[in-house]
This record gives sequence, C-alpha cells and structure tokens, in this order.
Amino acid sequence: MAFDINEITAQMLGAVKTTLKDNWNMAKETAASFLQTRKDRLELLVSLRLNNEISQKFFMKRLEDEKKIFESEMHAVAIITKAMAQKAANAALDVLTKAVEKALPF
Amino acid sequence: MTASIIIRKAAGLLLTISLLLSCKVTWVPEYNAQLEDQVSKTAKASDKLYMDMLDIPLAERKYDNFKERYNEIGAEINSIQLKNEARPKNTNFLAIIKNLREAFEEAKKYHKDNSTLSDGEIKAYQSSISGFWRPLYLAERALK
Repeated sequence: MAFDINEITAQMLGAVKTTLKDNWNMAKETAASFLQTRKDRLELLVSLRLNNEISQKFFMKRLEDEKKIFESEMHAVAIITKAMAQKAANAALDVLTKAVEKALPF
Repeated sequence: MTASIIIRKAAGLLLTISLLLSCKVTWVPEYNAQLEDQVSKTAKASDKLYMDMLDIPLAERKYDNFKERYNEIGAEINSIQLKNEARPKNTNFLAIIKNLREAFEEAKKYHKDNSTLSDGEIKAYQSSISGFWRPLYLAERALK
C-alpha cells in the first residue's frame, strides 16, 4: 500500500483541529467560571467588611488567599491546556501510526 | 555477509516501526475517577462544616465541637496529596494541593486560637476554602 506523506499530514492536521475544537469550549468555560466565582467571592468579602462583620486584619488575610486561589487556578488552566495539547498530539500520532500499519507489507 | 546486513536492516526497521507504533505523548497524569470522587466528597465535607457552624449559636461553635471533622477533612487532603505524589507529571496538581492544604490548616488554626467563629468569618472561610477546591476538581475532570 502506498504511503502518501502529504495526505497523511493533512489527516493529522485534521485530527488536531477536531480535538482542539472539542476541548476548547471546556477550557473557555473553566476560565470564565474562575472569573465569575472570584467576582462573587470579592463581592461577599467587601460586603462583610463594609458591614463590619469581619475585621480589617481578617479581610486582608482573605485577600491574601485570593492571590493563592489565583495561583491554583493558573495551575488548573495549565493542566487543562496541557491535557488538550496531549489529546491533539496523540490524535495526530494515531493517524500516522494507523497509516504506517496499513502501508506495511507484512 | 549480505544476509547479515539484510537481517540487521530488517531488525532496525522493525525496531523503528515498533517505537513509532507505541508512541504516545504524556504531559499530564492519567484521569483517576476515584480521585475525582474523593476530591468532590471532601470539598463537600468542608463546605458542610461551615454550613453546619452557621446553623448553631455562636457559643456552641467551639473548636472542640468541630475538631474531629477538621481532622477528617485534613486527613482526606493528605490522602489526596499522597495519591497525587505517586502520579507522574504531577507538578501542577501538587502546587494546587499545597495551597489548599495550607489554607485549610490556617482556617483550622484560626478557629482553634479564637475558640469560636462569627457569622462573617464563617461565610468568608466557606467561600475562600471552596475557591481552593474548585481548581483541583476542574483540573482532574479535564483529564477525562
């Protein structure tokens, strides 16, 4: 069986595009959900402070938490994008290995 | 001599093909359904800890009344960390868990040092601790 590298490369690119398209929405929705929950938390904290339900010291400590939560969210986004890239790369490699398998004379 | 060269070439070709066929890139740990479940249940337990505190009078919110639940949640966080330490490609996960563990320990210590918590402090802790759990849960689900 003939092994057409141009055809295989086009198929690999197609596999990458499909995989990234399928996973892109999840990455976008996760980032949006992080932003929304941050807004909700900050609203709550400010309201608790303005109503004197928490001390200034406690309020500042919770703002320190926000920096750490943001750091954790960035790590989560890194995992999500790496997982996306991994799925896309493996989909492309899958196309290549199947094409090689088909082209083998034995 | 010629036969030996042909055998060597064929062996080399087979080795290359078998390497290619087994080629998969790995940049993140494998999805673990049991870990996702554990994260979800422990996040729920820490949320419920603060919800239950809000339901009772200030005088009954003594640390001693909740220390067992704090310790159960702390032990679950340690178990989640241990399981993640055993996974390859775990750097991002361990950083998320470290932040969560430190935040939960700080909340526990604050309650212990102050004996009780006000409504405002409970609401603030409930919201912040939940913020630390969310990235861990969503990251695990992204591995599916």
